[in-house]
Amino acid sequence: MNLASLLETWGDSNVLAMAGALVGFIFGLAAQRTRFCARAAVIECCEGQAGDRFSVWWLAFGACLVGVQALVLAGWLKPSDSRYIASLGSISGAVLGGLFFGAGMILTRGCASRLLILSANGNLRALLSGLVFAVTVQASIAGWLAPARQAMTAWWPVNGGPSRDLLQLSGIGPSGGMVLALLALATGFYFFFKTHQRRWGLALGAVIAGLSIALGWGLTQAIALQSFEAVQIQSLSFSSGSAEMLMRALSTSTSPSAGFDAGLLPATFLGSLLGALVGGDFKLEGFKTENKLGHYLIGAVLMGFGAVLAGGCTVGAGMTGGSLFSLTAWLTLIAIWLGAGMAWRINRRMGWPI
Amino acid sequence: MSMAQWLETYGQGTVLAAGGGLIGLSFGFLAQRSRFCLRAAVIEFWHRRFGDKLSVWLLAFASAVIGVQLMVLMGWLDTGSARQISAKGSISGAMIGGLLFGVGMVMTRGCASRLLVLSANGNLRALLSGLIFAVTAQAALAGVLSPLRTHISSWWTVDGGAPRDLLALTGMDHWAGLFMGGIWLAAALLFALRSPQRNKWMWLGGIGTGLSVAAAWGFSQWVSSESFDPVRIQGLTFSGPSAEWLMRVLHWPAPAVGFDFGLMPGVFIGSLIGALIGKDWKLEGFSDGYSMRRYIGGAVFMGFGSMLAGGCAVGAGVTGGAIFALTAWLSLVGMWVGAGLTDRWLDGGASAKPTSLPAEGFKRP
Repeated sequence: MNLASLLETWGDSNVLAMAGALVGFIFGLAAQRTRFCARAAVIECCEGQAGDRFSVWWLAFGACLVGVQALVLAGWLKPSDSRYIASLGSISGAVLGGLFFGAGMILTRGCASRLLILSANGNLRALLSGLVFAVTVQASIAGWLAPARQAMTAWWPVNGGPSRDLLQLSGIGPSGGMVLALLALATGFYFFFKTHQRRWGLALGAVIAGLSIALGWGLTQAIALQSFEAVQIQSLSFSSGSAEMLMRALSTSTSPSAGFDAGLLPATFLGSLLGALVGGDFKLEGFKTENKLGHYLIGAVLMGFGAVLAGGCTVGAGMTGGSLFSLTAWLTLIAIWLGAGMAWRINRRMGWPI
Repeated sequence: MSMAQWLETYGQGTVLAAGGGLIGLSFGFLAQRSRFCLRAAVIEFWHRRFGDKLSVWLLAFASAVIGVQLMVLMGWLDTGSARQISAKGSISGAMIGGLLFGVGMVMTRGCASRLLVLSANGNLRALLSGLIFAVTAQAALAGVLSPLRTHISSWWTVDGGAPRDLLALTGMDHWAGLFMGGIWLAAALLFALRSPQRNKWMWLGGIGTGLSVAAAWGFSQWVSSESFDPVRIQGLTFSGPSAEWLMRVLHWPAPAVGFDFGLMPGVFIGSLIGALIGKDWKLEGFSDGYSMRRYIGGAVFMGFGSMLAGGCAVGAGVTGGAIFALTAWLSLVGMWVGAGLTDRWLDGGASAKPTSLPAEGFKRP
């Protein structure tokens, strides 16, 4: 049975949701097992001892770059069709959003995808922060925070097309992208085996987490080619998906039609839950000391607003968009690291408990 | 200026919102000062410690009943056109919703209005529980939980009109309603005078809170009689408005501005003023994982229960109770029973000790 007949039988939205579920399940399982976390990676860098968590993140990032660039070279993915490159973007939004997101991620002890994965492991702090995150994202997309977001994106817009594509801007082209990707993967392996001697299982998990993003791109591109309707090519992203999920729960009549994101979030949750049950990590956890709740609330709000402003979370902008060498995605990724690093430094300096 | 001119100049939505804001301000301030709380009153009642919490609640309830029935007798209010009496209702929904709300109220350590009042005093637990409450209420109103809600409501329905009006059902008139209000007031006075911790805020707050509910009925009736557009007369309630506010923040286009639009911020600001005057303002969070599970579960029960029952502890209990709506009284009884049972099972009566203030983190019994 090929894809065309699958689409015929089940309809576009169901097939897309199943693709999302498959990718989400793989990502959730792999990310839970490897404790994949951008926040921990940033903190390790800040402390000047890049090791354990940073090497996992960098290896996953390298694998993601190589996977996606290989798809592009094979002609199975057209980056110019994706929203990260084709549509109108904003430099100011990417930088400011990244800074907000990074600061928020330090305060909530985890970025958007990590919150989802931790909630599935029984972490009630992450569950509540995730709810606040989703509410803020939705308010920034279409609610009270939308005017502020639009004003900030309007400060320095960038046109879609070649001017958002780093490979075309720098003139190195797709093959240059592949070289950079291979370089990232090679350094990723080097770092990884320098810190984790012979932990092949962990390395495999990190590589799978990265490759699941390439799988998402490949599947949606294949569906977009076969379908008669306009299908948005996309891959892992947790900010808009969580807002969509929230609105689906809140209001049946106005909820958007199901798509890739509808399958992605529940499946990531299930994948992480399975990982926790297999690994014996499941544990109901709440707040330990009283004063942290304020940090979590502020962090989740900052992260939600920043994610919409920047057009994605650490995974959605940083890895999914970064693997296409989108200009705004790279700016966001750098801003997230800077924002998180600054927030961490300030917190340490002030002696606030996080 | 008369009401007709105000409506002419500012529009009906703005006038309603301004009235909601002012009435909310007085409710929030007085409820904060008097610690008006159905949960605490119910727990005192089931432990046979008839103290200040029960007195405050009874004072508020009695003054709401007396205020509303007096307005009806003076011809200023027609309770027959209120949603709680005129629309088709559900007995099963009122009973099950009331029970669920009572269970949730004890788990979250505060009913919906109390959560709003406490959020304004810096209680972040109440703020988060309030968010979960609003999300669940909206999901029960129009989202994923609404099929379940309509299903439970359809088990045993009751037609609008006389079958939903307790006074009409029992063949009594509004003088009898006023008399019953007097009995409640006598009981309230009895408990209040015997209560050891009584102070002026107990009297002012209890009576003022109840009169705010009556004022909401009177105000919306006033607007309704002067306005050319249909205006729904209503009292104070917190479940519908919190869901409406959530959707207003989340989604464009927002629902039309009305009484509920002014009510929520009014209560918040009123409670904040009360906290600043009384120096009660303090940032508080969760103390451990057990309490979080409890708060999350309780807020979900309350959100679903309030939509099923057609109102929260104030919306169904006091507002609906004051106009003698059958379903509101059933919900109120359900809340008392649900809260009493949950207190016994979950806390083993521990929450009745005067030393355990709501400010403390809850420890596993």
